[in-house]
Amino acid sequence: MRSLSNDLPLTGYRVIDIGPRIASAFAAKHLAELGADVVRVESPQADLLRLTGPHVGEPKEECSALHLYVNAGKRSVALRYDAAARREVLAALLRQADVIINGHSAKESEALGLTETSLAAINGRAILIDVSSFGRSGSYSDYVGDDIVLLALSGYMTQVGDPDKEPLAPYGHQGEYQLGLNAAIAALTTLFGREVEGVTQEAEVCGIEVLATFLENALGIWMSHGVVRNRNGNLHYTGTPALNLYPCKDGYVNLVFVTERDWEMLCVAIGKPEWLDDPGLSNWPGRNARAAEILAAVEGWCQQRSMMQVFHILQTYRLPVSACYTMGEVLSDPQNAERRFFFSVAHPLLGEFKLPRPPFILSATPSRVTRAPLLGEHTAEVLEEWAGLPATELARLEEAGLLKLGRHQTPTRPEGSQP
Amino acid sequence: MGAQVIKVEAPTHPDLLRLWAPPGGDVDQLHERNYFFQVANRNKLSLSLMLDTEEGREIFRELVKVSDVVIDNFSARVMANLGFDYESLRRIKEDIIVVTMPAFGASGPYRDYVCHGDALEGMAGLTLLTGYRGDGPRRQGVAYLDPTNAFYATIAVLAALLYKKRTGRGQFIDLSHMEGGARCLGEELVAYQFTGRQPERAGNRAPFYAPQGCYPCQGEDNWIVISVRTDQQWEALTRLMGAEDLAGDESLKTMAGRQANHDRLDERIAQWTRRLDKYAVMEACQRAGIPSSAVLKPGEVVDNPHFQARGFLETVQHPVAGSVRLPRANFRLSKTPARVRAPAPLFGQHTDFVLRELLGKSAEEVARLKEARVVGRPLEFFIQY
Repeated sequence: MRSLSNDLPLTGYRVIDIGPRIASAFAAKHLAELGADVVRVESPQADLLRLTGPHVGEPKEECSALHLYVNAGKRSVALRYDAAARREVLAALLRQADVIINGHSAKESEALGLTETSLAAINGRAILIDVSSFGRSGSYSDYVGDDIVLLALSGYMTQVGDPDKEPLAPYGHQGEYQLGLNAAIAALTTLFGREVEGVTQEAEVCGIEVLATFLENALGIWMSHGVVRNRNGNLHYTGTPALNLYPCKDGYVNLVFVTERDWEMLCVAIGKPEWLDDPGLSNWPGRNARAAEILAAVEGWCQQRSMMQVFHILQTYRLPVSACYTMGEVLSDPQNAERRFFFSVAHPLLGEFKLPRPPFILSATPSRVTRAPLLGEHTAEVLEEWAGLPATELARLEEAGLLKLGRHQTPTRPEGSQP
Repeated sequence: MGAQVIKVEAPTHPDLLRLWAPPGGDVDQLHERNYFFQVANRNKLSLSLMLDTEEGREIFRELVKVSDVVIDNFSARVMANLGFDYESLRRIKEDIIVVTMPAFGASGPYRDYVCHGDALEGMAGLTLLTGYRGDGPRRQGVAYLDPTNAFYATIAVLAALLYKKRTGRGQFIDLSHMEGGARCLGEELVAYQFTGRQPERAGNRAPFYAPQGCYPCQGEDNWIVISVRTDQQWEALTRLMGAEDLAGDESLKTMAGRQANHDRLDERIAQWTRRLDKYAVMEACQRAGIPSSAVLKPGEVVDNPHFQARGFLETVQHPVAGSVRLPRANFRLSKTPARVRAPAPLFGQHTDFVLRELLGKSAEEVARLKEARVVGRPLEFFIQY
């Protein structure tokens, strides 16, 4: 087996990441960062992750930023495993896995043997994590769609945007990423259960249910009071001035003041000490009634200062405020730098670039940050290690168009590990 | 998932989720029944404990002795000021797992800065990128980074538990919400290093699919999302729309062509959807294999037959709120399914249980601690929005 640092939480576990889906691949990424040997089984024709941009070079299938991020730390086996192809090779891999993270639909999973029953017949220790948009049961279970479809059906989109315009999806792949985080939790929970109780089981993670848990009190106030919580631009749904975005000279800040202490600090910070003695502003109903006046005053104060000035000044008053960063500002932020949030990795075609580590520092078991694999880079290595296939057989399978051995094979080295 | 979780609550520093009230609602006993608090705290026990007394801190240390994990969401200096930094807790229990999760993490120049999940998304780059095309940035409307980082903390704790199972060693976990936010845009952080270009706000469009958007339907504030990923799906959509001119338009047969004509396509699709029921459009699109969904309002999630058939909301009986329906666990396990076992606790509801059963204190000792106002004090102030 490939030598990895032996003091990571998931060292020694074998994980198969299968299915052309962002969420399942994102889940598996976390297991790789925690030390698992994650094999991404992917189509030799390049799948959604490699073909979805943004692309940062050629050939496209190696230079998708989405692939470079989401598949970081994995090994790639390029294998044709659809219904027409020989599936023994896939089965040989499945036999070796501790965890299988499956992004295929129910119908495809049935055909591929990626079900709890089929797996039990070949690997009694394997944990199956089913990642789907709508779940494996219910009237929508055969529906298609991810990301924006999840954000719509879960109710999430009704909370974002302006009340007089269409609901808004957040930028990026938020629906898929949140589903993926929960699939990673399901995998770790189930693995822990296997180690402690000896129970091998399947976990089903459903995207719309995950996203619906972001609705805070919206379901509750509908059920108890019939109140429809709705999007309200940059303000809270209640219209309170307590949460808002404010333009500064050169950007925006996102400011929240919710406690009495926050309110007092705000009055002092923006030079409105008279508000502290104003009986009409002594409680939230009063402040909410004069929201326009408060918002205008805070905005006026912010507009005379730069974004970072406002951020640092209000933080010295211990007010919850953030600067609205560009991607460049996130990459060059001093806090991220001092915490060594970004790690350099070396890619054979793209050279050096930086990847974010997980957002936690584990004192005993630092995260492993390594680059994403080239398509089929580890096909031979993994099939030999896991399935014991000899080189002659591999060549024959490649000849038959069933797998891709990868032309740019380079040894994977544990670059960028945290000190 | 079955862990016994004790929420240590201070009567003088209440959890804001107990207090954040919907406007105009009934505020009597709200701190006990607030739905927002229910969602985040079901299945937990509540201990009312004053940590600003030495006796209170000693009770906390006794709790650490019988716990596997300690997790706090204070700003960075609070736990250290209380004498509960990792090294101190480790002296109490060698293999303890300690999680701290201040907004910006426990080290670095911003370590003592404070923030909330609904503000910090700016620092992750998410606020500036979310918004309508050609218009300003928009906040998420919910505290997006709170659940996000709760998920990350859960991942870290489970990893540490697995590590402890194998090696017997505990550890200290330092989580930064700012970093958790930036992970939500990792692909753009990678791309920026090569392009040096800040992406533009895209509204509901996607650079890789077209057309994709959110279109009006019949009725008040009703919307449908449609996302065309392939040329075949485009052909199917034009058939549903009965738009032969679009179907025959050679320039629209490729993704690039549809991207170039996106404004015109949006207008045509909206013309079509405007007079239709959103569920009817969703079903028609889905039958044709086109990714699509009605945009559900919160109440429609509650009433939706698919959510209901899957048992998304589970009912528990709450001593003050009565019957409460709460979202179930975010995943279901085939052999050991998680349940909503208990409603969120009343403030200090389990003070006696924790002291007597978990710490083995006598009834007299508990009575004395209550008399000294170290434990069991009621919540002392209330904010109303």
